[in-house]
Amino acid sequence: MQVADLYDLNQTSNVMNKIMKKYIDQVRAEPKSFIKEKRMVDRLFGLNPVEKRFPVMFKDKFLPSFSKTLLYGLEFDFMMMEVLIIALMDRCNYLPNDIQSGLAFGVLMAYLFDYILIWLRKYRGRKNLAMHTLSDEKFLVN
Amino acid sequence: MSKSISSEMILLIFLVIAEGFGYRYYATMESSLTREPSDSPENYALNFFVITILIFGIGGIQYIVSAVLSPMYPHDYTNFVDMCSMANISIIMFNEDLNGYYIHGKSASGNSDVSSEKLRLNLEAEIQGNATIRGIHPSIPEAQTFEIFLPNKMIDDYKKNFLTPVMITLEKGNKESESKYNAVQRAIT
Repeated sequence: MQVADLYDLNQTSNVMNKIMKKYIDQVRAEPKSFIKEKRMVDRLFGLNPVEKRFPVMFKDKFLPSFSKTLLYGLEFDFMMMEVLIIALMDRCNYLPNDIQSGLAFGVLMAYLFDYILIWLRKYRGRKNLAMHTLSDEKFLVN
Repeated sequence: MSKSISSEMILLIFLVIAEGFGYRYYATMESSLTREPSDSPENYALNFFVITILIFGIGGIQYIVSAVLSPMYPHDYTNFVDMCSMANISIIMFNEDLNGYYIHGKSASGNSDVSSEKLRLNLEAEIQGNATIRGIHPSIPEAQTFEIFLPNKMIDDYKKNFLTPVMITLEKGNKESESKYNAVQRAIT
């Protein structure tokens, strides 16, 4: 890749940054119109607002919604996966084999699955970030 | 990549309770609850129930403890939002095409390109209440993180002005590397 290409990319990201800022500034100027609180019905049925011109924002109440991208909020999904793996392995242990404790084997398998899933997410996530991130030159976090 | 609970800790405590203290034998088909092995077979449904109760019980306790301790030991997401504020940088993350999250990172002192000494003074001023708010608007001073739904036009702008040029440049770079690699291969063979 040439230096000129990198320069062009930098210019592109600067233009995009300005466009994004324009949209957010509009929301900041009219918070009552664009910043809302999510209703219970919207949460239950996953209803999303349709706004053709500017973004619609929903205030977070308890946990920041973006924390899901850091695995926060997925704890109970992970626990359910562990339960299923342990129960499955314990159940499989009724077949003839040399495993002393199906439960301990299940725990080992659950740990390995957890580890592999998190590793995969890290690996794929890093690639995805590198591909799509549009960052300001001030942003130093990798 | 972090969670409020530790899977390793859950699994370890579960193993100690279920296998060590014998709570797994609650799933045997007996008239009374027993923690001793017996000749009665285990009931699969009961077994699943015991595992679920134990795992979710341990995980739930960990979750509550983590929430109680969070003011003293902040979670990673709290630190991240603070860092965005300190750096005066806002972030939009896309979860899906039109849905994502927005972190409003606005420095309460107005700027962040300053020396560490000035940064410390700014923080002290903020503690004393001599700074502006971190939130997006004075009417909602605490609101810094949002779920955001974007209009189609904004995404089209993003794709047209950023994603497509990036993809084209990457493809061009890949082709160049490939042709150089092929040239080296030809020179060697």
